[in-house]
Amino acid sequence: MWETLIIEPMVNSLLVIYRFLGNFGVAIILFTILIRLLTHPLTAQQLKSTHKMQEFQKSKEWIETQKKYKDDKTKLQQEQMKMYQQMGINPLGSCLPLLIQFPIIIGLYQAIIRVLGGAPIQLADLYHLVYPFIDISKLVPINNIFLGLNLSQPLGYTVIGFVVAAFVAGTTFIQSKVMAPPAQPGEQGAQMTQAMNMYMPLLMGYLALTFAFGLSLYFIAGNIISIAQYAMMGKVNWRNLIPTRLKIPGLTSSAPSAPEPSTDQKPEKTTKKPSSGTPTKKASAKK
Amino acid sequence: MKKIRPVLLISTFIFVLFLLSACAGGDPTALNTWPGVTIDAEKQIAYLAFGNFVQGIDLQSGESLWRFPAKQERNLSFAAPPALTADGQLVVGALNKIVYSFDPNQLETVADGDNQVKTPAQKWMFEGADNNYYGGALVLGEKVFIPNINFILYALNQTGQEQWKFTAENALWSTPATDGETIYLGAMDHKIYALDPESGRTIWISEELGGAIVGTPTLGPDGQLFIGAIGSSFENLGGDVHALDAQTGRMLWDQPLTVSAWVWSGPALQDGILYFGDLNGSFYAAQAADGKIIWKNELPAPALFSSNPKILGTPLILDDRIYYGDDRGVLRILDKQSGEELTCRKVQNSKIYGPIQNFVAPDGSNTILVPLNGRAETLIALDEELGLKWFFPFNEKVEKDKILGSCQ
Repeated sequence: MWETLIIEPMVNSLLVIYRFLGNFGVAIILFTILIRLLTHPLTAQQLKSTHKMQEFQKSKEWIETQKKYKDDKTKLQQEQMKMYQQMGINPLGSCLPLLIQFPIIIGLYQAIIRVLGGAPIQLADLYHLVYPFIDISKLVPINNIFLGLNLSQPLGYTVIGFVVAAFVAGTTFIQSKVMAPPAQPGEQGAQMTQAMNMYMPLLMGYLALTFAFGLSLYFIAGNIISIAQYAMMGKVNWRNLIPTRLKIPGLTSSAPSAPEPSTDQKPEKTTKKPSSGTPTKKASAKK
Repeated sequence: MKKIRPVLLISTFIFVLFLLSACAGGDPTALNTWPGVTIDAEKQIAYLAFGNFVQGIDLQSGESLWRFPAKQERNLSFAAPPALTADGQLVVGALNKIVYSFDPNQLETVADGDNQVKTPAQKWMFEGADNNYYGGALVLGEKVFIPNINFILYALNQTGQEQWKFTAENALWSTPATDGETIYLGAMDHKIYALDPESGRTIWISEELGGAIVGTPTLGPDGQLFIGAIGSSFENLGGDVHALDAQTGRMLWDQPLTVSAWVWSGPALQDGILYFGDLNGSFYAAQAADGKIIWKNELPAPALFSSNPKILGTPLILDDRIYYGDDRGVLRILDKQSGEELTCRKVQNSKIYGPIQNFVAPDGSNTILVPLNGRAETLIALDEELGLKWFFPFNEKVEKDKILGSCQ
């Protein structure tokens, strides 16, 4: 069922695009754009819900409610649900669209691997995935060469392999930085997000070295398209890319008791204002 | 706690990398091919190339005699069937872009950890290619011809020196065929090439055959050349079988034999009849003279969200029976005259892609060799009724009775 509903339509779409373009590298890029366009309403919905949730978490009412019921978790949960209803927030609103997109992203990855057909079993397995109206015999073997590199094979630990891996890691890093939502002071997930921002690019770079180059191309295209998508919705925090100095305890003039926020995830108000460059002022703005 | 967290995160990261490397380690193409098997009937040894080793296996007992290399080497894996030269060398192309030659008659004992391993002495290596070898080498006289997926057929002498090379228009996946005077090479560019083995000169190039050629052409006794194609000029998703004149490359039939699915390998030929399967699980017998189908054994239509099994390997003809396997691990025996299924068995958790071969022992008994994907066992030996004789590699924890089951 997975193959019929997800993989087959993707494989055939890729083949149709390839048939018209004659270049599988360009087909991967174009297909990634198409998939992102199709899933754009889900992305927008997810972003909207995330934004609402952030507003809610920043709201005075919620902070006060948390303080009020800090020793009664059950009551706090009940109040939280009430407030969700009042503010029209669906608690699953931000993760449901993401969950729907997840199989699409996995499917896209698998479809690319299968269409590449760089080895005998891959090519044989392609047979049952192709729709009868596509004249696959004219398309096989797929021209796997893009920019002089074989899309179906890993580039490995070569100079060009490291260059491509650096591109994958770099675009992943930029994507995760500029798309990171503003974290709340003391938010537990902030440190985890920060760690993910660090390790995810490394992991993706490693995958780029190990897996077929076609997938690296997909990773790079996907990252760039995601950044563009978020930028068009006005949700990109370019300032997150600028390294900020670590905050030194004692220099912060306000909220000494507040937990220290991550250095790269400032509240929206701070990041949108021209930076004064002083850690003290940034810290003040957070309040 | 703050000190512990980075350590924990780094450990988690390393662990995830470790898990991923298990999926992606080595050459990923090694997982997308099947075992290559060559039989040395005189010495009663099967040479099995798959995974990280080429192994010598006693055909009577299934015991391992030696392996090459002695120790597992990262990024070295094999899938192409080894070729035996006249002077007793084994030549095999690997998935690390190198051709290896070694002498199975000259064994050394090497320590691999606590084990003592017998390994043949390496004679030479050829490192002139920039890509992998899926197809096996062809030996003709004192030359070895080996196709690479970089579109090039390399002609080497018996010391591994390049004599000439021929470049096709696309990748070469299959072992070339020969009638002793000419080399016939099927290519992914939809063409067959006839080459002079001495000089590499092109004698003829076939016309466009409607689909990529991934199997080895089959030579007929009267100078015909039969080959399957993964594609057809007449039917989308169909496949063709072509008959060519080996002297001129001219098409012998008015039009190719078109079937409803890709034909992966060259057909088996006996008494003027071609036998072959397709990627939709159908099996055919056709007249070699004109390409007319004599009978067809077709599987029932698949259930919703399902598909029929694929037949890739060249079948084995033994007396009045035809043996073949499919990618669901089912072995079938058909009656050669009628195409009726006589029996079938399923190799559990396995896929069968490669050709099925037969070894005739000095006492006249048959041993049917079936290469496997998907199991720890990569080769099984069967009797004519599909009873299991032995499996390789032997593992005392594996219950012999459970390897083969019902095919229903």
